[in-house]
Amino acid sequence: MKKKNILFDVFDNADDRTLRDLSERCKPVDKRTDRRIFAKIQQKCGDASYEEEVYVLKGVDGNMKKNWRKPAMTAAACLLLVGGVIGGAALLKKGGGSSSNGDSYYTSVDSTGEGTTAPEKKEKTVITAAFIFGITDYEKMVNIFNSGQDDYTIKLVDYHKYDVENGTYGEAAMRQLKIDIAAGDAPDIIFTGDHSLINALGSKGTFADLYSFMENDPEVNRDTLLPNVLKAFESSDGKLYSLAPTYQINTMVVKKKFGQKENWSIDDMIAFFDSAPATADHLYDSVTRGWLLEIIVRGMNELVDYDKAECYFDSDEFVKVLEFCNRFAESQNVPEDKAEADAYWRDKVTWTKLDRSPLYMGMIMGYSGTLESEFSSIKYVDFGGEDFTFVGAPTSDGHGGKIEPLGEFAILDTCSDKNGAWQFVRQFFTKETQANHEPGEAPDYKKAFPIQQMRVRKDCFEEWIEQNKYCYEYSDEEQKWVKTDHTYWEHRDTTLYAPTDEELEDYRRYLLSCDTLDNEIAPDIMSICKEEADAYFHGDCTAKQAAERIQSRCSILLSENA
Amino acid sequence: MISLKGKCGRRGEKIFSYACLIPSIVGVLIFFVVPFGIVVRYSVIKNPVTKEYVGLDNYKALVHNTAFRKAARNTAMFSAISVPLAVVLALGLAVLLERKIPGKSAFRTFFLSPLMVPTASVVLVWQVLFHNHGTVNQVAEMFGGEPVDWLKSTKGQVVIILMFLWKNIGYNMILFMAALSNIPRDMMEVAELEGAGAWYKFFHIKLRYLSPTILFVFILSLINSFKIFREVYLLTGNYPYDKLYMLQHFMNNTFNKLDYQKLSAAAVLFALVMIVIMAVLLILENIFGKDVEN
Repeated sequence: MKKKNILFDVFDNADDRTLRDLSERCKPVDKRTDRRIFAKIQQKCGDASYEEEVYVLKGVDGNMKKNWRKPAMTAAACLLLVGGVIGGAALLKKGGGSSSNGDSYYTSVDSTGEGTTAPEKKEKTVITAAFIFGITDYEKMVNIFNSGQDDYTIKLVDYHKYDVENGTYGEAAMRQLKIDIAAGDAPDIIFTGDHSLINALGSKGTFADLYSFMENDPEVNRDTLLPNVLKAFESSDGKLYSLAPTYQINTMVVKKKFGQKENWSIDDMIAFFDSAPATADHLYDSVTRGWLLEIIVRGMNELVDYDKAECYFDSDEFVKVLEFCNRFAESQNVPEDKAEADAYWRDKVTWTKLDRSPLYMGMIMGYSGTLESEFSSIKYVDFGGEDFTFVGAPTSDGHGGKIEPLGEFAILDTCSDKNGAWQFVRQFFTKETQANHEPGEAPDYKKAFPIQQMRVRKDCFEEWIEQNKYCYEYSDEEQKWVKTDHTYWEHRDTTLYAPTDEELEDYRRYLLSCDTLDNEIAPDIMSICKEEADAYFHGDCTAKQAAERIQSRCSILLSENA
Repeated sequence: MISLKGKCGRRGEKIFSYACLIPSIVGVLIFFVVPFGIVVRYSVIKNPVTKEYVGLDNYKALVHNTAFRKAARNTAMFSAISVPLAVVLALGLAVLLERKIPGKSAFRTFFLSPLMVPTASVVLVWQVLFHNHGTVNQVAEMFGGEPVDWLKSTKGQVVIILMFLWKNIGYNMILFMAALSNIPRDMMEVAELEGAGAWYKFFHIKLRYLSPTILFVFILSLINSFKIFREVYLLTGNYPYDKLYMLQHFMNNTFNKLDYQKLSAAAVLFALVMIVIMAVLLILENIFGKDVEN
């Protein structure tokens, strides 16, 4: 039998489709494994070499060449061939000899030992994952998952395209998703930014309880994830129908000299404004009344009881909210001239620091990779180095610091293989995915799923807090960012100092105390609030009348769901 | 031989007539029976995802649902007021226009014109009229009255009843005019010769002959009264003020929320109620119009 050398560069001739299929089936291996497997090949057939990133096998039956004419057959035959050689493993080299950065893939195959027919592919269970905000950010994770095991294939369903077609932001996508669910064409996994969908369908038993999967998961479970985040996502019956891999904390902040109490009620907020310092010349025009109302309503989860299908918009407290918001300007007084507008914005960023607008509204916390501790930037940039208190959004239950999820996963109860779906979802909560990036470095977009905001894993959160202990400066000598106890912000002419241990511990404590979700109010309820409040703001009715109208309309909306 | 031929012919005719019926039967099955069957099925399952059979649970939940009860009460009240008004006013106008009055044709056109105006533009006009700062309030204020927020208060039903009448009276009137012209002249002449008064002729002759039309107009108006949702929706959106919340709002909103079970149960219940109402109306018509028809 004639023997000849065969370049083990199976992808060299393969078409794109074959490449994609194979790379989806095979999981990538690191260089070390790559070399280890190659060593095994050498050990087995002896006459193999690695030349310019191309594996060369010598002494292989040349008769097989006829099967290699089609690119797809090339790949399949090689899988078999090497599978036979190394006893149940195939090594594929993507990128070929001409590529310097090709990835290697490794997969198990059933070896027949004959080397004449391709092994039968194991039928994979297809799991559909619906993404409301486009699939681009998740394709890498899907590819890794699909190639990392032989049991499941994740099929992405892009609902974002409906938004693109209709020029909407989430509405058309959500509508199509609802239609598909109603038509019995429900996906197995949903990734959505609309928690009201989870609220609406969760109570009907549409979603699986994620806690049930966590019970048997050694890496992603109640012990490894932050308890406050889990509590925020828990339904009233103690089940976890959805979970976000990343989130941010929304709160209002005030200097400690003006308020020591954490998490205000609306009365506290009104009292603060009533006794504002004389320096506060921008007390009521730093934000618009419409914006403020939305922020307050988003935080006041006590206004709506979804379980009882009741709302309390006609309460005295909500009337106070409307009256308080009406004190604020309808719009911001931004000059039309660009230069003047720029000056306005430059001036505005100093209002809190100089006590001209002493309450910082709309503080968003949880960014990672910044050069300074987030705590330090709040203290020194926004508050001029003075101590501050987190006062949350005004609520009556003292839970004003709000968790704003940045997209959340849910597994439908009808999924034929819920464990398979969990295997995919859990990837977003592993240490590998949730790992923090280094201060001063942008998120690694080459990473399968770059996270820029807060992590839900305890260990990653603590790591992030540890990063917040310091400020960072680039060292030309060391060619990297190094820890310092202070840093200078040239554009704000401010020096930031690293927080003390007490300050950081207090900051950590507050972040972990936030255990309610922001914006649990359904979009329909919010739009009714805005509409009726607007009528009040324009003098068409009294605050009491507006509150009664909101109550009337929203109670219908809620009782429909009962 | 001849009788055998006749038999074969009759059988052939029978087969042919059945064959001709097939398209209609298939059409009715596809467009009415099967969808209704699906609706009934949806009304007895837990949700479209799990499709778990729950018997009459959805119906029980529905009749206890505050929104459904409110919608049913508002719709019933609206229909109970607007439908008789639409019938009586249209009949009165038809009787009036039956007389030889000047500008009869112009009046007829005037009453029919709302049918020719698209709903969206009609709603715009009504918004201008009944808005908080609308024409009606401006006129009221001119005469020292207090402005009323018509669309966001308990007075909202007045607006939609007026709108319903404005939209439907013309068509009903034409139907009544056609029915009035079909009353046998000799019957009226005999009544006149025998000295019957105008009221007697109206109640004992015209009304008897009009009873099938009255029934038809009543049913038509009843159906149209359920369609008022379109105007209310355009005026006030998905969630109007309490008194304007109709059954169609409930159904539309539950559809948007994927609550197919509640929607289907409401639709089946609604269909049953409609069947009962129709049956009662047909029985009444049978009682009052029987002698005239025979």
